[in-house]
Amino acid sequence: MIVESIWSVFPTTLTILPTYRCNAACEQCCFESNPKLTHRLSLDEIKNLISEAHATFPALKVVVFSGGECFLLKSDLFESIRHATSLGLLTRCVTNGYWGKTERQANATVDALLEAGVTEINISTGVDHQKWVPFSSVETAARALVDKGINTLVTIEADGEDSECVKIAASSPTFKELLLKAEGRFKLQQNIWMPFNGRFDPSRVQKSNESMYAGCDQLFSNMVATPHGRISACCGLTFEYIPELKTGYFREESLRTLAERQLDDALKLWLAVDGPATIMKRIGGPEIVDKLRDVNHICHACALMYKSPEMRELIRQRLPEFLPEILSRFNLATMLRAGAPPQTKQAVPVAFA
Amino acid sequence: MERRKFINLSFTSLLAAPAAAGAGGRVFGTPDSIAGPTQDKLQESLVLSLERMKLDVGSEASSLMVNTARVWSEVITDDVERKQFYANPERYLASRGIPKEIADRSSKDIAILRIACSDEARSILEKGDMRGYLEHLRNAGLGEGFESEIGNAIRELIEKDREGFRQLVSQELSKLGFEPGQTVLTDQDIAVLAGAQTQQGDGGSEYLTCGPLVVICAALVAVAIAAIAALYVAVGVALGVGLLAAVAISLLFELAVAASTSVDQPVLGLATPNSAALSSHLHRMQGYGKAYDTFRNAARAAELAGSKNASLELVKTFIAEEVRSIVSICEEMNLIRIEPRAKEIVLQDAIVRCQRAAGLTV
Repeated sequence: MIVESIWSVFPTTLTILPTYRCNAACEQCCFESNPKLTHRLSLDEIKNLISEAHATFPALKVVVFSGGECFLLKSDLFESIRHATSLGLLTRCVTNGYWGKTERQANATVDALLEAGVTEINISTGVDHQKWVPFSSVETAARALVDKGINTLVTIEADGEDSECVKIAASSPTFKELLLKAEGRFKLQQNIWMPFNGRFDPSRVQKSNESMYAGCDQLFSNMVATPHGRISACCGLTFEYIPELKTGYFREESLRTLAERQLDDALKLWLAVDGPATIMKRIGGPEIVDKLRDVNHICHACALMYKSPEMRELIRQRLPEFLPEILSRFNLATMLRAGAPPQTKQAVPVAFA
Repeated sequence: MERRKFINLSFTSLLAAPAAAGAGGRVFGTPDSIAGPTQDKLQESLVLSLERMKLDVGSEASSLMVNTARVWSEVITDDVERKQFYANPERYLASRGIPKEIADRSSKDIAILRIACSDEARSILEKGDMRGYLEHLRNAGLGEGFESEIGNAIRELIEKDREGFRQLVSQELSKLGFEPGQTVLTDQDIAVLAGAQTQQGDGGSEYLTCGPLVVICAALVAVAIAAIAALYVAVGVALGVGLLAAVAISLLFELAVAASTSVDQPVLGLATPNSAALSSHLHRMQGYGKAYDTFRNAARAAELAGSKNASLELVKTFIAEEVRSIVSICEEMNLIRIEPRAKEIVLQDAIVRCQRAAGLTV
């Protein structure tokens, strides 16, 4: 019953996690990435994914390479970027910036990125990352990128409400210079994080995250390929802990089939319109809000929802009573995104057999 | 009561997980990234297939779903329906059989749809009057006021490190040979400016040719902008707080893509100057919280109403409001002072400079 224009607006992003291998082994990495992991997608698989997604989804605009550390793919990464660029797609790589160890190494990497046609680089740093990749490497990498005109975003993971890492970044003469001179090509942002093991420092949790109660923007807009050959419906922090977010294997089924499967799951539609925290509040009562007071991340709430046996049972029991509302609101939200195609005088709902 | 106990048990155990996990223990079990796709068969899946629910065509739920999809679409494509919806959304939706609960839950989306259906908004958009359009949004209850929200966000940021901001601006001013608090323009200067204005028309960078003073004044404003950019870093970078970077970035790119489409850019999107700048600014604008939400709602409604250049024009308006706010705050702090009669000229020039520096085609 979804407005048929949905595939004209979704997905906009193909995220490829070519490997979970990483030169770092951060304490609270959501994927527990480390140097010992070996799984990876082959270059052919990556290029085929990009080609198929491009041919299947007219709204697709961006290919994101993340991981793990995607730069460990070396020339395969650049070849993948080149392929996406040749199809007219934007590209973004998410990295820890380890390749900025020396100016020479940074410049060589940036030259290869430029030649491949990359659009944007995101560098992640912060208290965990800096145990493995010195901040100076991030500075060197950022400078090399910005100097060559590549849009660069440095994301600093939160390490408490009064973040030392942010202060360090703030006092970085390199960053200040880039901010002032790069004409918008350089950006800094701080993110929030969540616990994955008992070593998590609770002071890193930033309080009161109202956005946690909003719908999930990842679902439907992002299609994620994992190193194990699976497609995930989102690229959130906890997706590898939630089997239901995986729609299948791209080596076995077409991307279109896997996307359609996502659309067939009523709970994913509900997550898209209400988000996990609001779903729990609606079926569990307002007291849930108090119980979620120390939860600040939508992905954390999502994992709690999927991992609670009682919540799973309640959702299973009660979702049907919310279904007409969920689909109606999803239809409206999709239409707002899509606009009204002139050729479609009215939506043609898909009838259930 | 039973349900409450049920939930209590569930959440007490789950939320205690980090502590209970002990040193090194995993909160949510082993991720598939480590274990591989072994979890597929471990539990009964919570994928609630619509197909398997076998909703009969003709059932109440099915009819409602078909109906709502049709209503949403007709509102935007059929002129008669559009006008009826705009006149009284509540009554219209009730008359089309959409339950009040659904309308209430979608109130924000319905408000956006109503803006898109408004003849007045469409007319304002056609004229390219973005400030008027934002005012229209405010009157419709979408956003409490773009300008005040931006001003408040900047003010809040500066308040966190007022002295740091003062020092930054002072340093930059001294590089240009000015003392903080100095009156930049004299009456004579203004007379020169006024003469130039008469000769060359109003607004824009034509004034750059009118004399060094205007250039210097505009440079001062641009310096203040640069200083506040540095401050963003110094006080902790409000950007993205409340959103996971990956989510935030995806959302922003998504918007950037929408923006690039709306300005009729080719598929290459960010490869074109305006869309690259839009992407960059969308990243930055998230730090403005409610003002950003207003922008997003405004852009969606405008695009739904058929205004192709709305995103670009809204970002330009956003920058203009930032310039005005920063100048205003700098004046309040006695960091700069610009004669009132020259202010609009200086501001317009600074706005154009900042938009150009941001890579936007002006």
